[in-house]
Amino acid sequence: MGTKTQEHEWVGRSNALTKLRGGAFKYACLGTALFGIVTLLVLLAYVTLDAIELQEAEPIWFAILGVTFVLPVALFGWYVWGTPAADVAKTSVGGVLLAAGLGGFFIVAFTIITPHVWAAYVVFAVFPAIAAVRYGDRLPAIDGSGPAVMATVTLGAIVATVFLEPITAIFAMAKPWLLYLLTLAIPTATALIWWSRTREDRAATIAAAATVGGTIALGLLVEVGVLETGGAPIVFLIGFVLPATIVLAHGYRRGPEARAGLLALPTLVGGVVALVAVAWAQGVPMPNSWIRPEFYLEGPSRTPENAGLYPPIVGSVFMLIVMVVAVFPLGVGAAIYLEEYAPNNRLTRLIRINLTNLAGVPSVVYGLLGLAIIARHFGLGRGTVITAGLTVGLLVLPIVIIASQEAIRSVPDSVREASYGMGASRWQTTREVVLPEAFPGILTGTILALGRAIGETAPLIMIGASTSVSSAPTELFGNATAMPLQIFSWQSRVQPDFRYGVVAAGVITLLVILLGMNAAAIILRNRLEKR
Amino acid sequence: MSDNHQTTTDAQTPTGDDSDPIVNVSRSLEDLSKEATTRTTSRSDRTLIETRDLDVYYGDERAISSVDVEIPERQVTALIGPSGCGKSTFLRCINRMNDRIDVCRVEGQVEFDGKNVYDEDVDPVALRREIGIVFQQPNPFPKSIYDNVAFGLRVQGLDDEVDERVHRALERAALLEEIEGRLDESGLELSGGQQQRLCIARAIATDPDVILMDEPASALDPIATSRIEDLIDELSEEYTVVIVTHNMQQAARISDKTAVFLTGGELVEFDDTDKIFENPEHQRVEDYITGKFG
Ligand SMILES: Nc1ncnc2c1ncn2[C@@H]1O[C@H](COP(=O)(O)OP(=O)(O)OP(=O)(O)O)[C@@H](O)[C@H]1O
Ligand SMILES: [Mg+2]
Repeated sequence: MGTKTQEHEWVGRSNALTKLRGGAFKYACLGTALFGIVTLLVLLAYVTLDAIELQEAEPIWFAILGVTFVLPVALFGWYVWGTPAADVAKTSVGGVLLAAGLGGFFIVAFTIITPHVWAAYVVFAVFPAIAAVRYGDRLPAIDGSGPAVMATVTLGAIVATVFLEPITAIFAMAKPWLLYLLTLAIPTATALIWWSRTREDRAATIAAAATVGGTIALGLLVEVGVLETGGAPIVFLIGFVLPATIVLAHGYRRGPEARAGLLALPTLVGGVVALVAVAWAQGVPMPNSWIRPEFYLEGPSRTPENAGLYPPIVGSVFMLIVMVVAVFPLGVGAAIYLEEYAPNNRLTRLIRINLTNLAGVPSVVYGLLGLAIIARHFGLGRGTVITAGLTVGLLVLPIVIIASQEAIRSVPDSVREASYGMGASRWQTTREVVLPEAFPGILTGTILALGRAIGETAPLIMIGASTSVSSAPTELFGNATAMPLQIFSWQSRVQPDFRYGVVAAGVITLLVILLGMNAAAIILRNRLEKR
Repeated sequence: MSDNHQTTTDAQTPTGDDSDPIVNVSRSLEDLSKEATTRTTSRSDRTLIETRDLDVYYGDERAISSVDVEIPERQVTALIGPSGCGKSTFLRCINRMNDRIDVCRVEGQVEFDGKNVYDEDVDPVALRREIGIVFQQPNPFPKSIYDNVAFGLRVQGLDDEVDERVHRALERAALLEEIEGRLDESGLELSGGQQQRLCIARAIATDPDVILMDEPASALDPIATSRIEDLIDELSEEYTVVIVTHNMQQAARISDKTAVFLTGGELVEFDDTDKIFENPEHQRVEDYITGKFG
């Protein structure tokens, strides 16, 4: 007592023991987190080594790799480090890779969905729905356009499904490229222009014109016989070239200083090309990588060398399409209802709480449900694409609903008030104010949920999906397998090459797809929210 | 009358902004009544909005108790009273914005043009198209300035001459000059006062019959305040304006009728503005408007 510093309770009372405890706790947390990450990385490194068998490459090959690829890339990285160009380099490489993933998805998706079927659903379900969104306010009842949208989509989808044969027969009279022009290229271009109107972005208008022009050009090439089919090139144009160009154009418009970053992509590609060329010229064999083009183009085989992932990739994409079509409208609709429409009563609260429970139900249980209800009761068949898609869709539905609910809830109530105060109806408020704000969150949540769905294995086993099918599914009721199932079946083969090489290649593929989807979700959210 | 008002506003501009009650607490009744007499009250005397025995509860708590007010058509009615006395609640009752609050319950009648707006067959959405509102906190949409103002036009299906209406509304709300050429920027990038004027522009763009304003000038500087006051004056030629304000001079300057609420949500006095500011009937009202209480 007595000295000045001791008069205040908050002076000089720092306790060594408290500090020690705090520090110990902090490092314990850090340690466990690091342990998880490090073990995962080690595992990944092992799998990668197995997949591309680097350890068997000749030393000279590493030398060539260093000179043609690593050195230029490192130099480039050093050159742009810390400048705006680095940012452009990152976004352009990342964006183009994602665009490649999107393009791959589109191409696989459009080998499953023929142009005629696509056109049938777009013309009967999507176009009327857009019209309902656009002109629904003119309906006599002020709140009429919300239900009108639901009704037109449902009705249109039912009509298109019931009369699919005659409709596709009629559409079959048109050339596929013409169908794509009318139902894919022009809607994409319109969406781009609409987007650019709200964002003051002239490049988007040019891109829209290029999309339509390019599609017509490809169509004409088909007409004069240069190209055999217009379908795949058009899908490639819209699924890959267009988004990639938009990404690059964005980088270009960042100014002359940042523009150097665009060279990252040529450096990487050039490095790989140079590596292959030099190695071939020198007669140095490339490492015996299991990840090679044939792996993605072939089906199952008795020999590891010929085994491929094509049917399961198509199966997974097909299931994904079924899921998106079934789950996205349902999930977002349910979230909108629960957040914007539902009265705050006991039932609503019960549903809210149980959604969290549903999201936590083990996936095998959903598999059992799918087997009993979807496959048997509704008779959609064991192991079919539609049963698999709906079962896994059911599994991720609560996740989509919860993510969408959170996104909708994060829209401040004051803007809803503003909208109602302007004489907007509930649906108008939802459509004009709430959904645009919540959209990035909804999209992110959905992509993450779909990522989870792609990796699901247990429910597929439960519904009796084969672990390996010889050919890719072509219709909803065809038998299909998914990537994780196929990987699982390879793991049980006797030949070690299956268990190490092929499985590793499959795992890497699956992981890359998943990481790509997650990255896309995060990038989309950041980009869209920055507006 | 307009000329007369204009001079008053200009003369008062330096002291016009006393939204902060700490400054200028004490006012003499003469000062206020001088301002009040500058307005003539001989316009339409038809009652457009009439409340009868209006009670509003939040849960069990009563925010408004048996209020009877007759708001005349094409005039400015000011609502004044201490914080928390239920002015906003009253205002929000008129166009049924309180419907959105679960715990809020309204008893009694609010007649708009002879029809009780709380009747079963009234569509609140259509009602709000007739009775626009500017909220106490500026709440622009996270959209461009242009889209903010065009929003009401779009949702109400008024899609002819959108550009013109948007520009006119921004001009009347005294915002156009400042943001000329920035119509594509987000409304959220404006300053607080600009946002409030954007909200006013948004509300008048659709030409409602009645405009409810909850302290529209509390975040504005004296110049913008005086322009808003001019706007309110101009609006009252065509529209019925109900305005909440904490600024006595403002109430005295711009309103024809004044309603004084005091704590507990009770309406103590409702009369011509001149009367309230010259010779209020209740001592409590005089105390409040001269800054002795509240
Ligand atoms: N959403 C709500 N839920 C519960 N009580 C509320 C709610 N809004 C207002 N109240 C209560 O009603 C009373 C009146 O509030 P109101 O907002 O109408 O006051 P006010 O006169 O506008 O005050 P101020 O001048 O500060 O804006 C207050 O006691 C407040 O606590
Ligand atoms: Mg208030």
